[in-house]
Amino acid sequence: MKRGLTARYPGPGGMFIVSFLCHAVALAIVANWNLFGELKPDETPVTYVDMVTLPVASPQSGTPAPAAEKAVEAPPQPAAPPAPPPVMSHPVQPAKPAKPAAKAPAAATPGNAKETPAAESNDFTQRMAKLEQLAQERRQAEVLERLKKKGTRTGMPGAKGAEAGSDYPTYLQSRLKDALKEVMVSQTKSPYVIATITVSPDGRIAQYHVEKGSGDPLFDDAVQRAVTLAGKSLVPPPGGAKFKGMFRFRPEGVGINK
Amino acid sequence: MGMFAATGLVVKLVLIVLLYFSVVSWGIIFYKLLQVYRANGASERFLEFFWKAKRFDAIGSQLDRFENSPLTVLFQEGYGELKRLQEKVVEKADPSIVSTDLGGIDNIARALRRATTSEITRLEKYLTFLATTGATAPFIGLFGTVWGIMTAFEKIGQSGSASLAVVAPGIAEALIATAIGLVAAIPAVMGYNHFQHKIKVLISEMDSFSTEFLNIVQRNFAGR
Repeated sequence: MKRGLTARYPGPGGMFIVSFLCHAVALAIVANWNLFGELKPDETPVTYVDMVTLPVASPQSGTPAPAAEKAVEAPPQPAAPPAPPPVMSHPVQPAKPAKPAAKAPAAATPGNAKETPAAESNDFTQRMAKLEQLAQERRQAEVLERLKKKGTRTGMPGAKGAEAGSDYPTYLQSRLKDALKEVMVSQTKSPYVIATITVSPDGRIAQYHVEKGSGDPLFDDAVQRAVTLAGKSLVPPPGGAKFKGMFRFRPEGVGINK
Repeated sequence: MGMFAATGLVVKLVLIVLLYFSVVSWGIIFYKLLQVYRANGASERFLEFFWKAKRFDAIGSQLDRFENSPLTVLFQEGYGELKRLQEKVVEKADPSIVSTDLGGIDNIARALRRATTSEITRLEKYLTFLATTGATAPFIGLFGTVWGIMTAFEKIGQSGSASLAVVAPGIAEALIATAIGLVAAIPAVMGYNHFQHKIKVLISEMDSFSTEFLNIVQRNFAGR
């Protein structure tokens, strides 16, 4: 009699099914509403600034600094028009600075002449002008020498300086490396991805093709995000042509695959 | 979901175990809610009916109406034992046996005690799982977190980069294990405490009913 009554109590089996369904619904809500959020890297645009030490005339040499600055700043204006920011290759400048350098003393001379009392002899003025010119020329020669010595090290690594943006692959490699550092995630020990990247003439990533995947989905995804991230701040390839290059991505950095 | 997929094997196993704990705990909580509240309601109705009824056999015939109450089981056991004693009296044709043999009352008391124990066992069934979940789920989750953080640091070492983009995802994935452990443990502990309290009330009701039943039997049958 007792068994008959006890058997009528509801069993827990049905409740386990109800509980399972409740969990499934809760998980679906969490997944669809993205309650945990996604760990996305910061994609705010990054402005790259190359720090270049410009040669400044020593104040002890007797000439005001602005004249020297003019001499250095003036030449880049006639340089190649769409030069990418990091490829501001100073070696382009050598031929030009001579002109403003020659003008500088000419500009300085009237000032000196104005300051010189009219009573002083022309002889003294000419001598002063000659000395000024000599000092100016020496300073310009020093500046040019220094720039020549820097040679390939300014702007981009390996740049010959013959034309602006001559080393676009290295520039792109640098940007990809920086971007990969931002989004780097990997699961396996030493994954690498080989990919071909095509940059359109307007500086956008036109095509991204994985030649060889790493087998690590996280790293593959990180590489793709790095390419997307880098593509947001690229300058157009030189000469208005599209650029195509193969790169090797590793957690340690990016290399050009030749 | 993406975070679950990104975790390592050990953390995945921990999360699956915790999910199992959570599903079973909630199943038990739902089951116990139904069982305890039905038992309470049926017991109240049964006691009302019991005190209004004039005869035990009238009560015995209506027990199906209060099937979820543990008190009906006690009544069945006590009344069954009483009937067996009466049958013995009729067989021996000696009406003085029940009135003089106090062992008959003891038999009924023992039957009631056994029924009470069996009902307590039935009511407390599965509660140990809630207690186990409440006590161990946070630690299982913590284990998953520790393991996940170890793996994350290993990855950081391999990549050679300590940027937030590398460090944060691994740690966030690892912390999910602790969060799920707490999600499983908190309802289990709350449910366990709640049902313990409800079952205590039912046990005291059963004790009172047993005492009353014995009083009635002694008053109405032993003095015959």
